[in-house]
Amino acid sequence: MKFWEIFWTLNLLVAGTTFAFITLAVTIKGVRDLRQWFRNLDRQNQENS
Amino acid sequence: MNFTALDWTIVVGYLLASVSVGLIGKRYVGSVSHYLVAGRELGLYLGIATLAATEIGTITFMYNGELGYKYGFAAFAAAMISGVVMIIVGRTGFIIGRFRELKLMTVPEYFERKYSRGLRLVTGVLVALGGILNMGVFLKIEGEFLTIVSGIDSRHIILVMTVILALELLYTVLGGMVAVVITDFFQYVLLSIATILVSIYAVYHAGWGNIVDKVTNVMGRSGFDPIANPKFGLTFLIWQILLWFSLHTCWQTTAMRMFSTKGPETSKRVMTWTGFIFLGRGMLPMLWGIAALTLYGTGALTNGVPAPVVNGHTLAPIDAMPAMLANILGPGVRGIVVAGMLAATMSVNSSYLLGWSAVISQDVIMPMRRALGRGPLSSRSQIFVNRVANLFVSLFLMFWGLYYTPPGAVYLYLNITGTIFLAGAFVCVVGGLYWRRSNVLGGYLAMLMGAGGAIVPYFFLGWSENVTGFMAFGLAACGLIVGSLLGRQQVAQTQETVTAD
Repeated sequence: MKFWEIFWTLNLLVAGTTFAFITLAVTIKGVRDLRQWFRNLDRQNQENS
Repeated sequence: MNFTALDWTIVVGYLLASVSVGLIGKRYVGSVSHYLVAGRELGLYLGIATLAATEIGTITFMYNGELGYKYGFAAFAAAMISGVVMIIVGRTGFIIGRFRELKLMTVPEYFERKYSRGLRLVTGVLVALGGILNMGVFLKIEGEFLTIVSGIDSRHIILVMTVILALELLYTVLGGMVAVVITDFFQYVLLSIATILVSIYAVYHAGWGNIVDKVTNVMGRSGFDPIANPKFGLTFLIWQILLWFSLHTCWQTTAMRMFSTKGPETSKRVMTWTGFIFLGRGMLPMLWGIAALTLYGTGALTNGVPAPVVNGHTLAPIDAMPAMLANILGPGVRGIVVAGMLAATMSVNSSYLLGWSAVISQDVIMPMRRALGRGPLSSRSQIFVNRVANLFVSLFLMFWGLYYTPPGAVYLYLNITGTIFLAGAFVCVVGGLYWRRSNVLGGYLAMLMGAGGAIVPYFFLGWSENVTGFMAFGLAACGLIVGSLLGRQQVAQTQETVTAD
């Protein structure tokens, strides 16, 4: 049982840390993605019109 | 009422901002490919945000909290499988890479390209049926969460959930995938902040040592070891592995995100990184459930687990986690957390509304029109049909979702309703992409035997979820193999596309 306790504790730490880290990265770099995406959609709409 | 004026200000402010941002999406929608797959221009970070937001809802927090409360740390196995399988799919590009190359808009569309129009129609009906039944329980469970945490009178919850559904419907119908992705990005940030905040609060109030001790005392080894736990065991773990491989590749709302990325490489990277988020998506709310067991698990035993007793009231295990939040979060923080949960709710519901209505319009209505000899619809007309389908799905959800109560653990109900079409769809897609011999007869048998294998044992014979799910995949695989060996070998179809792109 001790094995499983340590195993899940480590997994939880990895899960919590990566969740927070990826959230931070997505929050910062996602804004740039969003702007680029809007530009691409505008370009597609101009090409189609 | 648990909410203060500050909490209400935060929540109402969030709702107004979310709908306003969503409505911006309408001005970018110029074609059906914008409406359904965001113009196929999503980059890595936006892709991660929309995929994660789509699959993390209040319903996710509720059912994972329930699993944690009932089965302790052993439940973490389900979360771990979901994340690790996603990382494997992302690293290898299994199915998703090929799907993205084919420039699909819906999963059943593949069935017409590989098999036949008839099989696309059958798959479309099963996908829509399974998906809408699956989503059918969302509103009621989400309403329960909101009632308990905010303290809104339960008599008003139908009205509150109707307003929330109407708000998300407004921007989804008008802006389609473009509006959904914009709102998903902001909603993902907010729901993640709420998730991290709640995790810190839960461990701080319950205490890590107390959490481990409580699970040890109440459940013993089965609270940690998923193989020793009688609810889980090896059949559960194998079924979960199959289920998550099929969910990450053939689940319409997930697949739509893959179709929306800039290309196959981006879709693989989005899937890989979201896999790490999926570890936390499962384990963190399960931890909240275990913390609720630690703080409030003092009632009469049911299957060896004490019922939660909060402020003198005995609750169902699924309600223990929100009741804990209502008690441990202070003014302001409670508003942020509820806004975060509403963000999670709206991002999931809007994506699911779009996903299932896309299947109804593209894979049921359009093929039927062609079968009746009608010509293809223009891009604008397809958007209109999608919008009407969206409205009908919402109306069904209002009536079904607010009154139907699923039997047993919600997580397992959702898994079984998903398996109705996933077993057959996954087997057909794997066979179609990687086995040259697979043919139409095999495809039909796989879809029908997979659906029958999920519906009959669970709803009519009362078999356990594990055995039912496991058998559905087995029957679907048998159907594809036997049908393909018996039927005529199929001439390879070209990439003749069936929808406007």
